[in-house]
Amino acid sequence: MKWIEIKVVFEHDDIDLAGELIADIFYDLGARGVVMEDQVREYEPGWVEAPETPPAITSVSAYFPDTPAGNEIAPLLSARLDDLEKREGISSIVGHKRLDEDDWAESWKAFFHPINITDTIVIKPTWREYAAAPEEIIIHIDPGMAFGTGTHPTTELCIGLIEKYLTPGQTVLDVGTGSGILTIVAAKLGAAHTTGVDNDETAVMVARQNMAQNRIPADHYDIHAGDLTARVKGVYGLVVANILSEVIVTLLDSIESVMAPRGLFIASGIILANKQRVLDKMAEIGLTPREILEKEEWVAIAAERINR
Amino acid sequence: MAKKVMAQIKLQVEAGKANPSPPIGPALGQHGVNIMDFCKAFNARTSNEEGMIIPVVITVFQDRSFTFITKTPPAAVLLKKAAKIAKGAGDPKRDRVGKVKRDQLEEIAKIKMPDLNANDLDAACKIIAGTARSMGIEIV
Repeated sequence: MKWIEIKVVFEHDDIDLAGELIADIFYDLGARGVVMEDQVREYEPGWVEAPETPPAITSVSAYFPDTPAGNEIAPLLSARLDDLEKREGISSIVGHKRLDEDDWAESWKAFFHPINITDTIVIKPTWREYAAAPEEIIIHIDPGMAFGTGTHPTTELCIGLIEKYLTPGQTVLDVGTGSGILTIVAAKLGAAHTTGVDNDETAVMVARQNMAQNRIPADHYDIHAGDLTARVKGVYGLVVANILSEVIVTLLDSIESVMAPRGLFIASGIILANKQRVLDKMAEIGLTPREILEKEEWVAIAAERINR
Repeated sequence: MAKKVMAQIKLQVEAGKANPSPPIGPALGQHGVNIMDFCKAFNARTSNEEGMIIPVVITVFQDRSFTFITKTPPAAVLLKKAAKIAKGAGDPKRDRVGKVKRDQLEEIAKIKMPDLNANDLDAACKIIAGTARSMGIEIV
């Protein structure tokens, strides 16, 4: 998909006000967000904290799809900016640039290298070389535009718990599978069958490609699109979900129907502030925490189904 | 150990709805930040304010790791919501495009207080009133 970047460079005594008013015009014209730039970076490279006086905002940019409708934005914007100059004395210059989604979708890949998630599990981007030691388990991943590079603390915590609690021969359900990284880990650690669901069709496609890339036999997994457990059949010895706290709480309402007796649920993606909320909900439906891990602002919980 | 700051990125995006589309994709991608990781963290932190525009300042370190802070919604966005208007002062022929009550203005000033350069509520109200005036919103 192609986009038009429209950048408004402005001058005004009160840059905060001017920036806000220009951003507001963009919102009126249908922008979903804006980028604010400081022309002069006042902070020294190497500072960890943001400088006390924030750098001046001197431009506001927004993006519109490169479609006939998107191309009608420019004259509308000019009229609004002329008006703003008359009323508020904010002078500005407008610049346009066309860009392709590929320009940024791939750029971060240059910085993604193989990493040791646990003592034995290594996440290897498909575009990198890695010489594996005999005992190492290599997970080949191309996350594309799906979540799950393995570098994020939530994925790391979750993988650690799967490695610890998965019993070979178990069946595993991964809710919100993203790139499929957790289903691959489970399959490589000896799960008999893995099921991954995601409500995003792109993720389903990416996850299937990654399963194939890791040579997981086709009859050992099922990746499908669906809302949480809505289209999941059968019960699982291990259920994993690395999503957001709110979604995990919702998932807990229906988790009983997909969990085997004495099954284990590994929940990750929980922000520290929501830890208690998730634990309360677990207690309510009869899940007992076995282990709680924390890293940075993230929490992962392994909980067991004791009743029935 | 202190990490080297490589860039600081300022965005305004919808709470709980960050995705790799612009402005996030191009703004972060050019600095080597894993776009999806940012989206996930931002959505987790802002999910209780869904639908609101949230300013966010992202600090990117040399190893491409990042931290970010979120701020209070822009005054312009809060003012329009209070005045129940969808558009700003777009039509130069019309001087006033909406009205907010004094107590609504105070409400907004209270929300904005942490991000404003104001010592007390009165000073904060003056700043918000200034934004309102520039937008063509009348205080009644």
